[in-house]
Amino acid sequence: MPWLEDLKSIFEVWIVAAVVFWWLPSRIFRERPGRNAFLRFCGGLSRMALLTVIAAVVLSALHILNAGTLIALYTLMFLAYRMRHNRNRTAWRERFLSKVAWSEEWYQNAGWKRPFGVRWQVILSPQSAHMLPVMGAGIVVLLLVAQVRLWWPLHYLRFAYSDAYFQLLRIRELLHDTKPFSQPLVLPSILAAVSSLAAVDAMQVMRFLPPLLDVLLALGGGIAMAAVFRNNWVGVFATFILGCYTEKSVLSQGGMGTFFLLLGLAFLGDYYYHSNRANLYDAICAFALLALSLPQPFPLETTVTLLLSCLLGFVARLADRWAPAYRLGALLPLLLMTGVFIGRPPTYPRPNFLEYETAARQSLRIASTFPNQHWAIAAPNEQFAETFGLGQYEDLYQFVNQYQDRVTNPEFRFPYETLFVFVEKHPFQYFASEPKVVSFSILTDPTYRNYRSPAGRSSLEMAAMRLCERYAEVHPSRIFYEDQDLKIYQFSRD
Amino acid sequence: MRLDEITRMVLEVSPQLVDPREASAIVESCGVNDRLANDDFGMPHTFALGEYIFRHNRTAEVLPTDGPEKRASLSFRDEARLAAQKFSLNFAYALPWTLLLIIEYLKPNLLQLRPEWGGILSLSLIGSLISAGGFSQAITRIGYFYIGIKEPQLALRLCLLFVKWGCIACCGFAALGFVLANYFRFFPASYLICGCLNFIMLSALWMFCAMLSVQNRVWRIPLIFVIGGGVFALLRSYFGVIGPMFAANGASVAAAASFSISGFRKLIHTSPQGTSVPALPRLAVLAYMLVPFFFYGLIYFAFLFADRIAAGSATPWASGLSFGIDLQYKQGMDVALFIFLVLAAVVEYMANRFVRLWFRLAEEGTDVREMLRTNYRRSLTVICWVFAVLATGLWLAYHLFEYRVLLTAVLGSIGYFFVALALFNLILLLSLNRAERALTLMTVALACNGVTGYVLSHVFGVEYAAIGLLLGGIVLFTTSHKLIRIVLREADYFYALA
Repeated sequence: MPWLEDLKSIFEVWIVAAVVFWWLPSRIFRERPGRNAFLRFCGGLSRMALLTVIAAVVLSALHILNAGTLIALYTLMFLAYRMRHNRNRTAWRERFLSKVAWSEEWYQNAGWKRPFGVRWQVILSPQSAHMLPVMGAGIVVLLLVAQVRLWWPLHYLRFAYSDAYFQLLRIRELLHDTKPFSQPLVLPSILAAVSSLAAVDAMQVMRFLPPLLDVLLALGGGIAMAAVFRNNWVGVFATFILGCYTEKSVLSQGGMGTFFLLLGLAFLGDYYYHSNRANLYDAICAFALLALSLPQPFPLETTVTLLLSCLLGFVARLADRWAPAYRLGALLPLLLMTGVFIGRPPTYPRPNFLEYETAARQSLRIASTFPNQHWAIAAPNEQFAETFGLGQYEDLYQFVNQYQDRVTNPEFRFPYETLFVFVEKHPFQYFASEPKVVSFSILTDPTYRNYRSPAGRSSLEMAAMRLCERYAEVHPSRIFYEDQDLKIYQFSRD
Repeated sequence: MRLDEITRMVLEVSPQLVDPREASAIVESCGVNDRLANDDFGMPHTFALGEYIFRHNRTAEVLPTDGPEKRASLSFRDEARLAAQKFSLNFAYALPWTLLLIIEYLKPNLLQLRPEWGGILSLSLIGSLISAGGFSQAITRIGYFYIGIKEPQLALRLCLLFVKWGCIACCGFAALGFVLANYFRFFPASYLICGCLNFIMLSALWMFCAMLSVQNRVWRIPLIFVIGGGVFALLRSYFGVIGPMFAANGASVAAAASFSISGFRKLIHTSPQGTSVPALPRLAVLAYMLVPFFFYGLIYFAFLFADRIAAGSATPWASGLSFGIDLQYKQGMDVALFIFLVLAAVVEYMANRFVRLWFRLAEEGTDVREMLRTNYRRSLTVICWVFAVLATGLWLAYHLFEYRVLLTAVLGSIGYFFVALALFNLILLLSLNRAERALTLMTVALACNGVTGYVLSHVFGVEYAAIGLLLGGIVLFTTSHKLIRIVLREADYFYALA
């Protein structure tokens, strides 16, 4: 049951990510109360992301990136913080005894029920009552953004963004201690750490974690606007537009940089008004991450969204100053959001699939069923990123060229313990029809010629199928998987 | 109150007075102040009274009772018996180990396994040595103590209690290890189940061996290994390697359990009757007292095998294995470990001799510092000489090895040499009831060993894991030597604390 496996993976990935980037920073980087909860969360996230990126790259360069070393590192950080604040033994002992006493009292007074209870006194306080409408609107917008961003990942294992395959390859390279310092660094390092700690395949992590980061990217834009213009409604508006109407993802080029730039602006905005030094440290971390993720110019849609939000922020600020009784600072963004929502309801981002869903599923099945490095796969190049480090890979085009003349020889054997050949009965169509105009550089690119061009892919798949059939006539073979689109041959040496 | 009455009262509170001020404090606690000291005993104040009692007691104490030769030192025969006992305890483990090495060298195919089996079995062996190491230390401590005070029945009950706790804890470790290793997909589930079973059996075996070593019937330890080896040899030709190995482990555990319990029963019958119905001491207090020794044992064995764990985890990912100790590394470190096992016997004997000398001199009341320093240097020199002899003797064997094995063996041997020197210091600290300090030093050294070995083995190659052991050994020796110098400088103070 693939949905059950997916559910397990979602649970593991999100729990581990929440522990590492939410719970752990709240324990390690304690702050004075009074700072905005969102900024506190984003600050902890930035610090922990920076530490994780540095740790993942250094550990990978030393060939020791794994769950054990990462847990040891986080534990050391946790202990170092604790020891810095509780130096002498008496303090430790007193702290321990007070904790024991507190837990006894907590249990006897049914303190465990408190987190589940509704805190009416907090909700009904004047400040909370003032915040309630904007919080409600924010939650609705976040749910909407989450639905838009999570739609494809929840339904498909294959990636909707073509950049995801390159990012996946980088994760696997880091996990297998190859090219630790190559770009991109930030997102693959974070995902590699989560993949190690959760013991979940990098492909599932790549599927479920970036959409959450996309939601955070939209939230980051909103927080930046709210912090700079001191208007939460403008923040909600920016979140809504960034999350529901832009195709930009953290997976695409410069996506992570945009996220950390927005967070850095939010921290600096809050520092300008409140002079809280924690904001400054968080901003430094965010800009360091921006520098590590090689800043790219903003894409047009993001620039337009941010400019629009800025304009709205100015107008709302002026309106609040000139006519405070009308509450235009809240009404304007709300009306605009409603108008946009009715005029053009949010849709799911356009998918850009590169393979059949079953091809991705079967690659994962092979990797999890057979022992590592005891099998090989001959398939289009998407499977290279999906199986790197787990088994051996041979490009389908090279495989066909290399073996098509020798397969009829009964003495000939493929040089692998177990070989899987992915053959498409109906070649996957990247383009609906053959493009009319293609530049020379693209035309000579083997990936385009063999896998993106409909004619090239069809010829290759046909040649591959012929090769497998001829080999199967004189050698033992079995069909590992077959449906209306895909057929996977399995050839074992025994 | 008379002078002999107050003297008796003071000596009842503290039979071995260390300082006149201690006697004065006890005198005051008995309700004697300066006026009473003057009126009843003719002393100007309580300090004078305390000094009188202290000197009077010292004079009585140093008077020879059974003749000077018996009090001064052990006879040559007793010394030789003690040395043989210490040596035989270490050789009980070293001998089967050496035999196994020779068999592996002569018949390399005899124990050949699939790499997955090799990985899980070596990991379970190392894990069992580490986890049972803590319990073995606790069992040895408690066993020696109660046999020393002629309570073998109590010793048996407590040792068995600790074995039970140890087995429960090891089952817990095995379950946790299974869950984690299965979750992180280190090994297939079938291998993991076998590994866990092997781990539990071996842990029980080491704990029963600790019980046997307490009884000084050390020749039974090699006998256990001979029984296990016999069962394996008998079944090997019919059932391959894995099945007979488990049968051999099972037979060894059964033999060790029966030997240790029957040994204790024999001890109960032969020794004079202690308390008629021995009641167990308060277990919470006992456990609290043994905690430093437990962790010391745990960390000591973790230190000894940290380099192997580091080397085992450094298998290239292209091999598809999660853990597997490189054969050449194993060969090199086995030779080094053999040197350490022999050296450890010498160290234990020398440390025992040193402590006996110290305590005897302290009881005689002579100034011990200079004499202890001289003796300490002499002991270290003896250890260095023994190492030099062993290393020279094995140099011929070294020449038979390939370069990588040779490099590992040389690095490992020097590393274990420093560990042996540090072991001498650690035994002194344990004898002085400074287990917490020994534990701290071991922890620091373990961190150095583990981190260096792990990083170097992954970056440069498996054989460099031995540098971790070398560095850890040097750190352990340097820090413990620094501490021992302070201890020897303040010998009286540490003797009083002990």
